[in-house]
Amino acid sequence: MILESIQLKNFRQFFGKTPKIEFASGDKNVTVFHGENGSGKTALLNAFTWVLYGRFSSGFQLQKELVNKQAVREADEGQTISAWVELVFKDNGRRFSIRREVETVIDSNDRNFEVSNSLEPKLTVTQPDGESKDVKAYVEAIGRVLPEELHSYFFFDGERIEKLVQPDSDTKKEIAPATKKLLGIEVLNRSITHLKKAKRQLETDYKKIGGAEAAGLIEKKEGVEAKISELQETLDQAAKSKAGQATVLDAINKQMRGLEKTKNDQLERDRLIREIESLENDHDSVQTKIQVHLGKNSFTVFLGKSAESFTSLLESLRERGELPAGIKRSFVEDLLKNAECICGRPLGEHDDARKAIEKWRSKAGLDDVEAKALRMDGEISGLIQKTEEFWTRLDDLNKEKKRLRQQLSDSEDQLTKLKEKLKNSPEEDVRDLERRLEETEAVIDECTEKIGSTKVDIGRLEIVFNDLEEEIKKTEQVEEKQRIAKRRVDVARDAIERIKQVQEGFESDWRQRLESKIREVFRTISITPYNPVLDDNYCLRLTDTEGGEIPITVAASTGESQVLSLSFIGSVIQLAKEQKAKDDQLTGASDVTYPVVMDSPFGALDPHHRSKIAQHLPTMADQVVTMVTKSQWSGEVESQLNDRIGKTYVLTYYSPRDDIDRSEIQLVGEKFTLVEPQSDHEYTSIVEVKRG
Amino acid sequence: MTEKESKIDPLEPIKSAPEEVASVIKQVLKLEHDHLYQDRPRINDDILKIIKNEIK
Repeated sequence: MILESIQLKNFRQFFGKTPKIEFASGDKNVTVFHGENGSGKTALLNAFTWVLYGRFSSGFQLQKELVNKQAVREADEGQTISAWVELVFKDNGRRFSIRREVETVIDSNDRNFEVSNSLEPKLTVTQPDGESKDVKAYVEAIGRVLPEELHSYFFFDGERIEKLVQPDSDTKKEIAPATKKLLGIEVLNRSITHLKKAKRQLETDYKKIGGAEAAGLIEKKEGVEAKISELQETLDQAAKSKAGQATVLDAINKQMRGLEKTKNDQLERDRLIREIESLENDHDSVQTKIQVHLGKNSFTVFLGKSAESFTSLLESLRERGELPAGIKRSFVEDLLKNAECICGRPLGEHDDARKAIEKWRSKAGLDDVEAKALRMDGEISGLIQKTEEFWTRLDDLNKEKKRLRQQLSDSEDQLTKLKEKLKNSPEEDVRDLERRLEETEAVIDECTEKIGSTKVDIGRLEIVFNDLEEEIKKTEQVEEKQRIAKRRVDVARDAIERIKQVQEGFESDWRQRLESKIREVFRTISITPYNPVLDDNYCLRLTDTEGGEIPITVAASTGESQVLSLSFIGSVIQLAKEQKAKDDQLTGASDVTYPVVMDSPFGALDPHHRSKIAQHLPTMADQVVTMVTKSQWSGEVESQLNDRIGKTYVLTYYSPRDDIDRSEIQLVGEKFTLVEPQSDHEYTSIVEVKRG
Repeated sequence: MTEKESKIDPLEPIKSAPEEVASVIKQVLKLEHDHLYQDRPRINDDILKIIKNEIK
């Protein structure tokens, strides 16, 4: 954050609009405002905190009376007088312009100096590319640049600065959290807290997904797969064996066909087998036809009663002349719409004739309903016809089936008799051939049965296999979700642990570094042999180690407390800058510039301490803005700061009193008025001192 | 820089973290910094989002 300019209008002592006050930066980074007591130095300091945060320093009196009194006095009745402060600063390449304004309405001759209306502050942010935008969320935008609770480090009253280290002060309570924020420790603390909450939520998510074990299912699937493979082997063997036996059977049949004594019987057997095969095929075909017929047409059987009642309902409607209706509803509606009967009689709103025709609405037929009823009548008649056809066709098919079964039975009987004949042949070789034939056929039947049952088993296992595969797929998806959820919990846990480690090492390390920095600065300014000690809560106290090993806490004087406070602020800013330059992860933005605005930094210090503080001041922050009285601007202070001053302003206080002396200050070889007596009214103007 | 400072880098636990953990930490710290001006920032959902986006 680098301050560019500030402008005030009717703000406290400043009557009318001040010139735009620009601030020094760079090598000559000090801006000095010279003014006597009551000239508006504290008002100027408060202009910064008020425009940024709407806050005032504790020593700022009559906070509601912000509007310049002379402006109120000169205003006409009914006029609205406004007071505002506009601050322009840069941060990370962006230019911020914020204006805060209040108004006082002059409603009578009894002048009211209190603010009657506070306007919403207006913030405009200009990006590095020149794009400018009004920002409504100004609190957030300013807070991101410089959090409000840190403001006491950057804008302070030097005469009250000792409160920073004096015990039991409210300011002291704010110091630890503010310091932690500035050094990045608070970011670590909050990260741990929020990550712990996130981890708890992630653990709940993980539990909700539930347990799923694909491994067990895969093992089961492998078992089923092995069983299928085993059955496939059995199937192959049975098929092979059947094929082998079929060859044997063919050979026996051939042998029997070749023998004169069995030739005819064998040919008859071949014929019967072909016939049986053909009859079996025909029988199967008829059976299929019956199934198809039942599936397609059997519903007609169940329509009987419904169809009959529909037909009789329609018949009675016809008999009563209601279907088709003699009069259509659309015809009745037209008569009512035209308000005239077909006989030419008018149908007025309350006429009896109209009422009589309206009654016909419910009696008149609807065209589409009638059309559908008549179409259904045709369809129902067709269905009744179909029921009769269904029974006739089913009877025919059953008769055919019975006939084929009878023929099949006859042929099988003939084949059995033929086999019996050959089995009981008086010729031994014939009997032997027939016995072998029968045994071979039995083996083939056995193989066929085995093949059939194995195929059924394989089919059943294949269904189980497919189901398992589906289940595994689903389980794997769940497991993937579970794996991700678990990983998220682990990452959150790891992140918390690592941030904790950083926090532990970081906080003690930084506290030690801060303490040694404060000691270093304090010892260059103070003449006492005391050492500042920083406790765990970032509270400072002075200790004396000269007398022995154990440090003794000493009561710090107001002057020492002021020096200690300035050392503390300077050291915190210095360390925050070092930290940002080192790594911006903890403190965020890359901008590592800070301003310090302080009213009377020399307070009531003696010349030695003033000189030392003046020496230290320009190094305290990137930009230093300070307000001093003539007495505080002693020779030592001036000579120490001279080379670092970039801008100088004089606050000229105009007093209506005639019993005070005129006061002047010599700056860069020129005299400037600090107090001008015998003025028309009381106010302060700001004059820039041109430095060569 | 003292001998102690040169030896110990307080940020080492973050720097040596696995890629996804380091990325989560970096994003969380940035988020926390952006909301530092608030006393009680409501950023729990944003932190969950950071972790969930990092590990998909």
